[in-house]
Amino acid sequence: MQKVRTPVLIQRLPARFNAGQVRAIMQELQPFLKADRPRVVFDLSQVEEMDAASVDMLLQCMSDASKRDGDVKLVSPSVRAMVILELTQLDRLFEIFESPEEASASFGGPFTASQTEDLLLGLPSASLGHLEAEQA
Amino acid sequence: MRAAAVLIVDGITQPWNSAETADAPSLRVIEAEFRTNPLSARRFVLSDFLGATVLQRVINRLQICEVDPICILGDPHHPASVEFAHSPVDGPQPSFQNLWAEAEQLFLQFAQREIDFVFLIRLGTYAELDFVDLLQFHRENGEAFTCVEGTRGPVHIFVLSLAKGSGWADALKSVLRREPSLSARYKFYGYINPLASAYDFRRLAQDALAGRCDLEPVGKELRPGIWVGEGAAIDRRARILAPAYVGAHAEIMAAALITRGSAIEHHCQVDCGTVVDDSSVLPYTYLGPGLEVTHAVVDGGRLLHLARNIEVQIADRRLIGPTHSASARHRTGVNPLKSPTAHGIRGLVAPTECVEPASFHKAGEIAPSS
Repeated sequence: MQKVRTPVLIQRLPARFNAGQVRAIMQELQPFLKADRPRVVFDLSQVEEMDAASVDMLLQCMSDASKRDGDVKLVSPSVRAMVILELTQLDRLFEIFESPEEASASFGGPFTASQTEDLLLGLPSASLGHLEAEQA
Repeated sequence: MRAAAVLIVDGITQPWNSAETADAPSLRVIEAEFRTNPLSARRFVLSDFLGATVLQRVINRLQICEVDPICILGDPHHPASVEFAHSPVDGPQPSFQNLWAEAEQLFLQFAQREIDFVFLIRLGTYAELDFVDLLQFHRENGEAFTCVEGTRGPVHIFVLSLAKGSGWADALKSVLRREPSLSARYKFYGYINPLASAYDFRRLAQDALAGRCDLEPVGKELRPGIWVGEGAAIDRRARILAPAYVGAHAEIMAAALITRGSAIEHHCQVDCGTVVDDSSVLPYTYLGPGLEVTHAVVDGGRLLHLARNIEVQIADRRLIGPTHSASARHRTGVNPLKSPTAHGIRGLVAPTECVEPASFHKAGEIAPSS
């Protein structure tokens, strides 16, 4: 059987990543998080503002992903975002990478083509951000 | 021999004169405006520091040396939005138009009242000067004015003679223009902190708590290196590791940890499980549950991370923010340095009782650093 890496959703978070944005982002993410083994990378390079809702959202995503044997990783947080991550101790919970490529590559073992196909079917369209599915 | 003092504090828009108000200065900070200033641009001489402002501490030090009167002037050109008011407030409020004109008028009043010398101090450098020794040096030297010089250069502390023919007017102009060229230099090798930034503010807190300077926290030392202010409430399950300071009426909730020279000022609330490490938390600040505040100065919703040199404003009280009582905050006319040293420290478990320090926490929960 052909082996491929699982698709990775890379979501760039907005500069004002706060309660006003969280609901819309979560609505888009929900189908993906409900799929099997969801793998999400949040790009925080543009984030200048975070609040408790955004912290909750990251935790919720991690919780949902973990329940389905998936994972959530963070990429290149801005200095302000990093201060909040440290303040809330999320920096200890999430793996943080310098680039989306590194984060994608960090996700573990290969999956079968059939698993990947199932996962792709559950995805909404392009609004989710950049989706990567590489052949191993 | 009589000496007066004029303190110039950038950002103050109304003067104060100890000759007009017998009580300690009621230095009322307009908190709403004050808190809008970024911490990176804050005048920390006006911020509460281990229970009292540096300004109050300097006034106290001068009063111990029997310097009287003591007057405070502001620099109207400084953008800081801090206002000081008289106490009581019903008297006529002198409007501040010009620093030079105000200072000259004060000096003329001093001369009429047969005051011989004037200390002119531009805050905020904090220096643990012996003002009596400085005055003695100035008298023996015979110059129109004497400038204090620390190990890193001149400090904005001067003594001027008011005797006829001393040329005090020219000396005063020179000092106010920050060009004090022709003066005697008083070499000072004691403790000086320029208080020019939040870094200096933190260093002063660490030095004070570690006993590296004479500045004493306002409160009672419950254990070596652990000071707690009047009415502070510390949950039995919280841990305070020396050196540390918990200000008056502050609340430290269960499983919180205050450590490594951290200062929690009065009326702050530190919620459950939050760690405050090498940080200063300014009055009326709430820290939400489960946070880790490290290498920072926090005031309301502003957090200045000293290691990363960045200030973050968090507009969400679930993380950090002003306490609920912050909107009603005000300073009374009481100088905390002169208030009766009552230490009714209460535990959250029994809030109506004053718990003796020995039974306040179980052994090891408040622990001096080894």
